[in-house]
Amino acid sequence: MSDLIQVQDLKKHFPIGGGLFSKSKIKVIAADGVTFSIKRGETLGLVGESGCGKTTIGRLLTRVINADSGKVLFEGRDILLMSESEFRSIQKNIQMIFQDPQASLNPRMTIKAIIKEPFLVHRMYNKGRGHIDGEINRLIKGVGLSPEHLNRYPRELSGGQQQRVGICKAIALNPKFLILDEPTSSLDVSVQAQILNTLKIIQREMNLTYLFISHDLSVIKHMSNRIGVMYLGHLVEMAPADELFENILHPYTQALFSAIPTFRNEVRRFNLILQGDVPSPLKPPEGCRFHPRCPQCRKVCETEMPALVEVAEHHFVRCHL
Amino acid sequence: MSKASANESLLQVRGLRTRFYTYEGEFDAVSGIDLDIRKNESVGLVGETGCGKSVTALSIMRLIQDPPGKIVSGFLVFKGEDLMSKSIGQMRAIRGAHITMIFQKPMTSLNPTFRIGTQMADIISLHKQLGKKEAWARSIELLKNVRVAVPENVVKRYPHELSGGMRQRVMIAIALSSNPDLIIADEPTTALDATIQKQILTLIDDLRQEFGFSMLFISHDLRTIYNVCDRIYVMYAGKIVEFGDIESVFEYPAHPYFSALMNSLPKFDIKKDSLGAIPGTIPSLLNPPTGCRFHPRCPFAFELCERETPNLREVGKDHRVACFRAMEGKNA
Repeated sequence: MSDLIQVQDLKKHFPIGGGLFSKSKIKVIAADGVTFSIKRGETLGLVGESGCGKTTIGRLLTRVINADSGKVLFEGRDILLMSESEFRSIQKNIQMIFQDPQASLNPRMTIKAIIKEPFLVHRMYNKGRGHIDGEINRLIKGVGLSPEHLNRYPRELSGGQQQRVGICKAIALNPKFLILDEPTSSLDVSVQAQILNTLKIIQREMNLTYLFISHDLSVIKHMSNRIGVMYLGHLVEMAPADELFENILHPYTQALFSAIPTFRNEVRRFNLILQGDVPSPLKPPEGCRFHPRCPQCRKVCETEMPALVEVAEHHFVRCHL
Repeated sequence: MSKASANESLLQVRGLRTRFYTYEGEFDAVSGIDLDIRKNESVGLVGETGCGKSVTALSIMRLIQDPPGKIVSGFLVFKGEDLMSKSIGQMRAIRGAHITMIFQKPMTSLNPTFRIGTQMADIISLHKQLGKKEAWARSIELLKNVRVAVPENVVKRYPHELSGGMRQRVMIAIALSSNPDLIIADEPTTALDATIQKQILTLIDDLRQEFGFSMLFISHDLRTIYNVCDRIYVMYAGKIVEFGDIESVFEYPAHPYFSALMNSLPKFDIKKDSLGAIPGTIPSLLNPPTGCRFHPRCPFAFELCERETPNLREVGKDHRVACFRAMEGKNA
């Protein structure tokens, strides 16, 4: 299988403060040299705490925000170097599903108008109105809603149904790549299960590639083939899902795994409670970003940033140990 | 903790019914529930959005806003006294002194325009006759209790200068300030990151050992409930459908709703291609289903479930379930 998306050394710093005439001196480091690739039909899970940069990565890949440096190769072409019109021609292949379905649906449009919009934006109506209506009916059934929902407004639907509309809109133009940013975080667990099942089914049917962003390890484990763990703008560990759960190497990943509550019969290998808060991304620590909270911190960690090294097959870790 | 004191009742809720009057009609957010909290016990209340968890908590505190809401019937017996017969003034003295609350969003519960110490001292002097300086000193001491590293520094800060975890520590310190008998924690860690959540839960556990308060812990996160509670109540559409000892309920979930909920969780140890989703959606409380409220979504429902409301029946030691089918399943 070939790579659909290759991300190389992607960087994004958000300047804050500063005015019209004075340049800002402080920067929020959101993504600092992130490199990964995703194969066709694969799901890469990105996990990490708030402020680690996982959402920024998703937004950079859709060019909602512009990267400072780095490359994003989609089917071999760098989307960051494309002109607006060039990007628009491939944009329909890269779609995003958001955390808050209510906020991402226009409250003044009917469900039908919302799903139709991508067709209009990308001028896909040349096959006639009847064709689009038929498409919309097919799509809405595919995500587990019925055509009678089409004439309603978003507020008339439950959170789970709204998220289904979000999915419907995202897959309307037959994309290749979906970025899912915490798609089930605002939903109840029983509804979450319905949505995750739907996502898995459409992935199989449409041969979609997913970048699945979440802070919930159990959801990430369920959905992903590979998992990347982020901390303060860096990938600190990346491995196939089963390998990561078998063999956790980075102390931060270990801490993250010991922090999640589990049932008794589920496996828990570490009992590591971190002291202190996540450092501010305004002023990330020198050397390894995790060293002030790391229980196994050594001298070298304070000064030198470790590189992301492949320690086992497909298992990458950024740690001196 | 001796066995006798462990079973001593602290709060008894009997037949609590809280009704809301809205433009769309009247409905019971909580429709006749019984709930017990014993001394030194941590009780979990779990359920999905709109099932009535938070309304239950607010009803216990008698904080339901009227209008639109009202407790229409039921008893709240706290340390042998009936809370329903208390006046507003008496209730105010109980709240904050004997029963306190920790909320989900610490940012919205703290006043952004006052220093932490000022706010804490305010609340402390409300319940205890302390001078300004003493109250200030007491707030530093309280922050020390919740393991704040430099409390002398934190009291001088404003809420926005603190991290989410630190704010929640301040809230816990305030809740503990009067040495209460019962703390109601409404999703106290939902807004926090995993590693911070772990810190706060460990802290609450330690403080319970130290101060010996009881806790009603409300959450939708089954794993968190399992880790911090001794007993659990499961709510669905305004009713308690299952309750009991935490180990027993999680090991043998007897109500079809709760076992379906457990099945819908992604698991770490089992690889499954699809999750056991519950068909349909939560019923509208304006027009709840007849009989057992779960029957339209229940795979085991038969005609009796449609007609009659099941009572809570014993299926194990300290484990009761409101389901006609649960007993059968036990025998099979």
